[in-house]
Amino acid sequence: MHHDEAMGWGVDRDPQRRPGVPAEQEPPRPAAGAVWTEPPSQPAGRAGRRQTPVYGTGQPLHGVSGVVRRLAYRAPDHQVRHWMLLLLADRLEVAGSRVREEPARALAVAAVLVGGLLLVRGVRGRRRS
Amino acid sequence: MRAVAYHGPGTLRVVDKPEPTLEHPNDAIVRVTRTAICGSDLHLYHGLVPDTRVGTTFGHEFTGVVEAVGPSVRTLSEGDRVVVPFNIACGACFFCQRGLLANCDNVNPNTDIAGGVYGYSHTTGGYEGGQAERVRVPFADVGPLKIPDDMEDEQVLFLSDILPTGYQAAEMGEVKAGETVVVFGCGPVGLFAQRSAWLLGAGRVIAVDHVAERLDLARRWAGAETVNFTEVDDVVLHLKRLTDGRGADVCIDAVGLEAAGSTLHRVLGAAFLQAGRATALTWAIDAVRRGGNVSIIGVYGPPWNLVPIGTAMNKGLTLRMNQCNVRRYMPHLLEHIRAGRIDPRAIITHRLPLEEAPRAYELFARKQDGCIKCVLLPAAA
Ligand SMILES: NC(=O)c1ccc[n+]([C@@H]2O[C@H](COP(=O)([O-])OP(=O)(O)OC[C@H]3O[C@@H](n4cnc5c(N)ncnc54)[C@H](O)[C@@H]3O)[C@@H](O)[C@H]2O)c1
Ligand SMILES: [Zn+2]
Ligand SMILES: [Zn+2]
Repeated sequence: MHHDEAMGWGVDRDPQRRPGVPAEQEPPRPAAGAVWTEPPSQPAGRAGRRQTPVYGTGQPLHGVSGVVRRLAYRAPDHQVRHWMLLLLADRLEVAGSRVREEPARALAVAAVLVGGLLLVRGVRGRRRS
Repeated sequence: MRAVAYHGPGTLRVVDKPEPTLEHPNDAIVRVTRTAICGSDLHLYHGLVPDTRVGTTFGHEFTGVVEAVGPSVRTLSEGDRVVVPFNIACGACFFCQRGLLANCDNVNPNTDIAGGVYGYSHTTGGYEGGQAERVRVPFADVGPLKIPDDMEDEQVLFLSDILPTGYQAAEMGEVKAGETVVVFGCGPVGLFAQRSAWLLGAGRVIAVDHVAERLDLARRWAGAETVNFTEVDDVVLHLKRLTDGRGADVCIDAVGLEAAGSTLHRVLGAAFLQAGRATALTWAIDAVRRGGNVSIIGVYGPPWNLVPIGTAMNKGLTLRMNQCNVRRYMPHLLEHIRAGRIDPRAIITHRLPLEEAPRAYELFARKQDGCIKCVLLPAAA
């Protein structure tokens, strides 16, 4: 099977034929179609941590999760706190949107959680006494 | 327009959203004709990618028709059929000039570790994705590839990601003629990595997974020997036995952070002591021969993972990895498709209307109904 001509066995055996060899293009050169050296900029809006010429504009920051995300972006990438705060903000945002969409259900879940907590504390308290 | 929107882990809805607009002189607006769900989308869907905001439209694999172009766009015009790489790249920065289009410096204001990707959280730039009726395509002169008139959208759809990704995985393994390549994962990326290993002249390709129909396709379509890791005692020892006790020349991780197969990794992942589970990567490092190459194309999340780096060092391994620099590979792989060496359509198991995206995600995530690759069709396609 492996020397199967139909599957093109070995046609790219020669590293010269592989588009990603060498890993870094030598000499460096712009991609076809990139006629700029510094690409023109999208109107500066609320990009993010820094301003890049192009950026996405979906889902702007809002509410509590927005505050946490802003805090997260104050920490650089190599600090764990940056990523942990982002993950926390993700959960907060989802919880918030569930509360807004289905207040009754969210209330029921909260009640069960609080009830459970009280029960656990009650059991522990009884054990201690 | 209709678009798939994220509403929390495991919850997607198809909703009405405003039409995308031209926000930069080199933007194009593309009407989507085909869009696919990727293994990477599952990481988002499961809430594992930081800064995935409620309401985000997913999707980074799509073909479409150009509907509008910004004033500086020269190479595309209305009506052109295109397939769009998942990376957004300026084509001219330090990194793009070196061909590292996945690592572009000009497209992501939120982090220094990643470039821009469609529909892949604000960690990759906050761009809306292609699982929608229309999508904004930045740097329209750099990314999109015009689809030749005599080719169908589905023939080239996977040039947007998984075919180049599988190829780059094999290429980063620096496969030499006659070498033995082990590919962990028989999902779409793993399957294309297996086919690519043959193109590079591999002598043996061994595919590892635990899903029967995927292993079956690896055997039938990718011509690989297969190992179901749940059916062997110790997958690393098993692979060593298959390779004269020495180990494979090249191991490819085409699984990423949602790997199965290790309770230890599962527990550490669940306790947030690592991002997901680095099971397949650990197996790759353990099963490759001394001096061999490990190629990582599976996605991992920040901040870190439990990986036996000491073993890698002592064995003298070369580890290579990146997001795929898709655009670099498109013309070459288009030639392979044209020459009939590979027909990417072979892995499509499901075609569903965009409106059924939530069900499609469920099928793909749970690997139900033999699902290997799902293609979504917008109503107007
Ligand atoms: N680097 C890139 O540019 C890039 C691009 C696309 C996809 N990816 C990544 O590649 C990976 C695979 O993508 P896909 O679309 O094929 O996803 P997929 O989820 O369909 O496939 C993953 C496969 O791995 C198997 N698997 C799970 N645990 C395993 C283990 N321990 N050993 C071997 N196999 C195991 C699963 O059963 C599944 O078949 C994902 O992590 C995805 O994010 C990376
Ligand atoms: Zn992908
Ligand atoms: Zn760039």
